[in-house]
Amino acid sequence: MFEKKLKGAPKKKELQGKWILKEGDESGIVLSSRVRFARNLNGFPFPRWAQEEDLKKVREILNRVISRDSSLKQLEFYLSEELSDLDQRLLLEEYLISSNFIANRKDKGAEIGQALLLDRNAGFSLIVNEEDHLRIQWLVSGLNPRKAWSRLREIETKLNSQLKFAFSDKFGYLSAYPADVGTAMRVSLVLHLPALTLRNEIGELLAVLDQEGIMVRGLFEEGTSVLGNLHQISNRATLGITEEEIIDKLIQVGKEIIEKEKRARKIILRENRREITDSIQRSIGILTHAQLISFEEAVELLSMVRLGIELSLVTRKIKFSHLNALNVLIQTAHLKDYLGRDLDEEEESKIRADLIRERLKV
Amino acid sequence: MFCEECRKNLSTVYVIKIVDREITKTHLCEECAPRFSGNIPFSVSTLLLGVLPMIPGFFGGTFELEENQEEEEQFISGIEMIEEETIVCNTCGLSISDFKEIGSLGCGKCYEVFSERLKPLLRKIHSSLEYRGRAPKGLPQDIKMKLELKDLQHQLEESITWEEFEKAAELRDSIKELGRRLAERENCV
Repeated sequence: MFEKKLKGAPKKKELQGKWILKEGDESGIVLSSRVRFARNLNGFPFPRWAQEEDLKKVREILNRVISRDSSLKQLEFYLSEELSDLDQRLLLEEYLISSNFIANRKDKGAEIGQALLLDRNAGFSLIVNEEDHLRIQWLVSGLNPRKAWSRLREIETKLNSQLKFAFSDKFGYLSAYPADVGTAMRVSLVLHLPALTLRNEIGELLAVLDQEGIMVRGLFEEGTSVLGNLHQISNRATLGITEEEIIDKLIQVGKEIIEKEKRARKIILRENRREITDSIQRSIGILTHAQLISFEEAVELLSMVRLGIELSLVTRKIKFSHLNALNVLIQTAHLKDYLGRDLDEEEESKIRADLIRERLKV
Repeated sequence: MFCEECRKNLSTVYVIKIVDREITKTHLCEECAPRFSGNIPFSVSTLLLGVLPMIPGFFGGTFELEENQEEEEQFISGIEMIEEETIVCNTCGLSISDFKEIGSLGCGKCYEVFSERLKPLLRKIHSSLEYRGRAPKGLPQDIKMKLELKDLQHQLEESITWEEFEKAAELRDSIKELGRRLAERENCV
């Protein structure tokens, strides 16, 4: 067994990532903003090319740096081998680690020197030896990347006072992947765009964004289709553009998309009020009565509920933050954690349906 | 245009030679290029980059650089054909073929070692090759000054694009002043 278990409140039904339950600017359309820095320690090979000895050394150095800092040492620190598969899945579903963290451990075993520093409630994670020696990220609700950035900068400055980062005046912060070099900063927003999808305007929008240097992918993808009308946009360029400019660009593009989505919603309300009300009410009907439901179906229907609240077509008092939380709670690892045991697919559908009915009842 | 060696095939590559500050550019086809480059004892791409700062107007703004972008890319793709796959980072031991295989670099030094190979890729991803942004703590003063200079140059380009000529004039003066201070420092060393 593993030595440590993720710290959790006694009530497992409640979401550990409290940041998801907060609301920020434009919370109806923008679920979250994330800022991430990649940093490498000067003089050590990057994780994918490094030997076990170097990886362990990097991890020890970071462990020491964290334990010397009065506020960082208050946070939860885990070596990757101390986390069970379920723990890692929980963190993945809360967007705090990437699937690479899990894949690395599967491929190479637990000896690859990965580690995590977490503030699960605040939406902060520091990942050691994943693709880079350090990846630090902060997540906040709504359209608030500047808030996430300033918190992250504070932590980065603390780390920098004890560590020498790989940096060159030509290329900036040196990252394992050339796609991250420069500021090594990635800013992402998760946007809910059902009206643009219903009006078939999303394809064109995504093509324009690509031209403008914005990368887009589905928050939840199934094959090539995006589930729940949730799109994640982020900056492609990290070289030749300052941190401030990246933030400004994402805010500006985010606001433009929000305007487009709002315009599309107005048109739908004007031209197809009956049809959209029908879809939304049917979605609520299914969600509040279903006895078995898959994640894919639930996310699609929850998207319609969210739209219904925004269009004032739903009289139930449901907060956006609760819908954000449901998107997380109905995923496999959270359902398993909730029940405290493994589940087969049918049981999972059952527990998911029960949870949704309970959460959406008036 | 046609290859200046065989005059039969279309040229896809060009090679620059500098002899006594005389710059000659020879357009070649893929067949003739390897033979031609045999006479050049050093990396031709380094040579090309040595030429860029001499292009008039380079220091005041990088517009000229932009115009040469396409040619330079073509040139570097030519290099790939000429050189053998033997460059290895002497710090971490990663070779260019390792990089192609794993997709990531081996260490910070790799950026210098594979600099010429990485430039077309970086330009494709980021549309730029010039770092701008924050600097970590503890950088030597002259590097800080160089970064500041680059930022001022970028601001100058921006102000010209937006026709803010008063601001541009101020920036030009700041660039001159900073450039002078930087040169003084370098002379002292």
